[in-house]
Amino acid sequence: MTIVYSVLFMSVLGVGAGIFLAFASAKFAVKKDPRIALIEASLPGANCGACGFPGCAAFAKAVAEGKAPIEGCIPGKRSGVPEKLKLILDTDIDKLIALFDENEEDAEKTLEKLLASSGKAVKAAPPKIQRPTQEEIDSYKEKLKENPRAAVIFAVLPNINCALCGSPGCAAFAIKVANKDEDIAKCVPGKPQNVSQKVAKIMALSEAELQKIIEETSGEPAEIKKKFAS
Amino acid sequence: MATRLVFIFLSAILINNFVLSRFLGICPFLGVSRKTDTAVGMSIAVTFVMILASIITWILNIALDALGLPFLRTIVFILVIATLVQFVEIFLKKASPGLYEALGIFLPLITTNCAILGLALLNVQQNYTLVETIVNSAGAGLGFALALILFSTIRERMELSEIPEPFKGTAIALITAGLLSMAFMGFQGLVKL
Repeated sequence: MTIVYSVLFMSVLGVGAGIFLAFASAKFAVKKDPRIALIEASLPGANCGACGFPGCAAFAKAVAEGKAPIEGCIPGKRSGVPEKLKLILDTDIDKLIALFDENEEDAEKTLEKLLASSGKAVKAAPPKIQRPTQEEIDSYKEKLKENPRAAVIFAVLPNINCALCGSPGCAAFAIKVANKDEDIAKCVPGKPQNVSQKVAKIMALSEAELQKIIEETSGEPAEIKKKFAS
Repeated sequence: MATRLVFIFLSAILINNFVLSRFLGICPFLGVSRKTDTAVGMSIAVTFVMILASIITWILNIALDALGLPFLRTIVFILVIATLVQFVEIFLKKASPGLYEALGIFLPLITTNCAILGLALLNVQQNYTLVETIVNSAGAGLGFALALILFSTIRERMELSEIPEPFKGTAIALITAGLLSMAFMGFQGLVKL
């Protein structure tokens, strides 16, 4: 009998406490800032770190708090991200919360509605980027050894493997650029580092000159990069 | 009746101070006493949980005795305390995000604050009535608040004083806590129940 009573008593108490807490958490629920979710949904999602924040989520939070400029997202600059962020930040917060609730807190859907209702022409969202796996990156790095021009180009790239260019990693992109299959302008994070000029210089070099650079630096990318620093 | 209540109240605050005489609840005493603001917030949260927990445990204890299950006391009391702490946490997050951030990990740690479980068990051991239980818990909570706030003001003052290198930080805090405790020993014999 004692066992039955103990089990019953504890069950009733446990379920009672659970129901009480469930009610309390629903009653005192804290609304999160919908702007953070919306800003994150409008970013490319590459987590490339070019903005200076650790990942897109951190950048979104900083923009919502006014600690980061809306032009901070370098890969998203040309695909209309700053315009979208401006729209989100300029919209009345109560209106945003209402819209967010209406769409069951789905950030992507809310963003779509918000863009549609704004009437202003905002460029379509860039496709979400699939980042390459470490194996893919490494397999292309192996191939660099057979291609001195690609190896030198690889050395001047940012080497963050953000995949914004559409190639699986910086090594793969360098090989394509060396074979003139790809345009260096596609390396968006490399822009502030004048990668385009450096690559133009490399493309003008002859095979012998390239071999010389590789020998001088024993193929160390950091050493090669120093040669093109100016 | 009234004098007994006053005695219970005074004894809980001064003579049997939970922190300085019974040595219960030392973790938040050392952990949140660096700033007076957080110490006050913590004291309010602990006092609230103490009073509410002892009322609920007093009622549950009658049910436990009636069912012949006194051995479940500890586990039932822990469940009640844990639930109340969760409630305080949810409430604070909504009502005072600043205090919620400042208390940090020590807020959920009230669950394992032995002062609260100790109080609930002592109330039952002493066979207090409901009114006596409430008075005792309020006294215990205020006693905890008194110790914590006193200690935090001393620690704030110590930030400005020159302390010998080996005593800096926790060392001097522990010595101070010991001295404070010895000072509270002076209250022994003030009230005889």
